[in-house]
Amino acid sequence: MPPATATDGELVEAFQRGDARAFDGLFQRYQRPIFNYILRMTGNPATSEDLAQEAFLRVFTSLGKAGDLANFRAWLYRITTNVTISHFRKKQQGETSLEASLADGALPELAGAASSEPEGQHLRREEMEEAGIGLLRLSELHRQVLILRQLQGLSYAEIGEIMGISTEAVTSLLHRARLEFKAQIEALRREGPADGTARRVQKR
Amino acid sequence: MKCDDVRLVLSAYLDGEISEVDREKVRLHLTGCPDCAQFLDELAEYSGLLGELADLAPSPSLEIGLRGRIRRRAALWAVFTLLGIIGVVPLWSMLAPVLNPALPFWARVGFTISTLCLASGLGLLLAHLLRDVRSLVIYGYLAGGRR
Repeated sequence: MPPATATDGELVEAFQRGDARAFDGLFQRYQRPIFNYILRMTGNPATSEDLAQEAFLRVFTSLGKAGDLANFRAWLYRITTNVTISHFRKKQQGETSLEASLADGALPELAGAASSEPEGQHLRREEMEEAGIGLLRLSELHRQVLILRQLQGLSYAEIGEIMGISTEAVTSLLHRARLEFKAQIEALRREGPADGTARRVQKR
Repeated sequence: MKCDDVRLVLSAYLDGEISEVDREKVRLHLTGCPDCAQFLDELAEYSGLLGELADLAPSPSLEIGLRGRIRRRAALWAVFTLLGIIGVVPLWSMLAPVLNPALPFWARVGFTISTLCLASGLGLLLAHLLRDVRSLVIYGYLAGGRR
């Protein structure tokens, strides 16, 4: 079995040569970022786990036939994006409704991650939840490009490869996404914490 | 550079995804334009909010669930492979015209060629399936016992 320090390319090669356990190295390396990518797209931890499994299953069954992969990571993110978009289409909704996500008990679980912080960091905790909600209010494309850049730290070139668009298109899409995000956060702040907090407290 | 042009590339400027030449042009513009400078500050501030978002660890059930799916897929493909092997049996009946001395020579050659084509096609498919089943089984069963 290849060492844990092997590059993506080496692991892919090993897998294509018949070492099925090389997949494990790739899975361990990308399990967390892929899960978080889907989580920030859908807002629902349970659904995200399901979709992440689906994405990795597709990787396992098609990696052998994928041929010479120049960039495994971009290929993996493309598959993950397809799985997530299919999920959105299946839900028969144009955009993921924030209310539906909340009804599934999604955001309180995300808020729970910050609940152990001391009182002094209350404002920061609020900002974290606010950003998560803001993201979910964006259009799918804007949400996707913001997550890939800000949370996954991918370059414009790689984002372009994943989304199938030019680097220039990434630049303008990201710019519009940031503007929309800013507008959503401002709207959230105008709405005030009351409504959101009440819902979150209820779900606990 | 005009303000409109600058604002279009401010995201790229913020991310460092801009050419040296353009970066210098933007920087120069910003030193003399408080409106654009403020626009950049706000862009950075709101983008910074995203950086505060928690990166969560997936629960162990993600990996466990994935292995379960791989095992089920292996079982399904093993069934298909078995059906494929059974499907080879009717090939035997195609040998009848090949071996039939009453048929003209060219007809027997024709049947032989088509039988060989079908056999090799099926053989390739089965080899492919068996290789995938082997991968699935190795990963689904053997690797699963480690943790």
